[in-house]
Amino acid sequence: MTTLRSRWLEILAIGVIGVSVLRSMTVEADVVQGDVQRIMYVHVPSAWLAFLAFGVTVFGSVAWLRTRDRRWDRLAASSAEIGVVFTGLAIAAGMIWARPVWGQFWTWEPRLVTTALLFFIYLGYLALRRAVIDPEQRARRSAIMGIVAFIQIPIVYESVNWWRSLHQTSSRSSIDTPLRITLLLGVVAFTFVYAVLLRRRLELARLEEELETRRFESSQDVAGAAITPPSLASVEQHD
Amino acid sequence: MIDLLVAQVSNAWWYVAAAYIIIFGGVAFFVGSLSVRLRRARRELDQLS
Repeated sequence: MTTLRSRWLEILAIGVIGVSVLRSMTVEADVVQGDVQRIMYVHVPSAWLAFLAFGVTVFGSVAWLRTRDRRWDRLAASSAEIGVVFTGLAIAAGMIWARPVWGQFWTWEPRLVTTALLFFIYLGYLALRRAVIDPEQRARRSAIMGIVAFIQIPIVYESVNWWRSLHQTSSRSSIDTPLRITLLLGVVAFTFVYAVLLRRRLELARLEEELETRRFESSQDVAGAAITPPSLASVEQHD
Repeated sequence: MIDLLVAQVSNAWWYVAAAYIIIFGGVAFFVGSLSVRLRRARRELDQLS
């Protein structure tokens, strides 16, 4: 019963994902693209989740700079990792969709290039976090990078409007209501998935931080022991 | 143009299946890796305490 109560979010997320997948498989097919358009119901929500995750990262970064509370740094880092995973998944699903529609998996067009760039920028953010040992410095540097990197989000979003692009523009107004409802359901389902993943990743971040502190404390003990002078009592005992 | 597109997407369900497997497989892999990392962190904390 306790497990069920503590896992209510996971159960809810699985339920909503199930309904979303069922709906995306049974809703009427697109008139032009046919069944292959069903990829949109996982591709767009994946991209949405990535944007949401990077939005939370920038929020956490700003909050850390204002308060210096380590919890905000953990939130920013955890959310960025989820964002990177879903950017990668959105790119992969998009490539599979592109093959039958554009005739190739990859083309150097603005939306794809800017999204790939977004993926590598946030990979850099995660690499930076691993490279800096001091927790305070790491939090400060990654907070700044987390804020600067967010500039890429509106560039990705607007890339289809700013430059001539193969990629279609926003789907919100251009698709029929049943398809739009299915897409919206996918977005809601992926938001639940994000909440589940973030909760787990935050727990991991908290444990890793505790582990880091304990390791630091134990290394201090060893160093302290090494420079402790021998006590006179122990020398006398030896004699 | 539309005929060409229809011909290209005749095996559409393969592409749909591949995309869904990649997305949900990716999520499952990430959840699995988080579980492994969580377990490892808990074990190391137990050893240190």
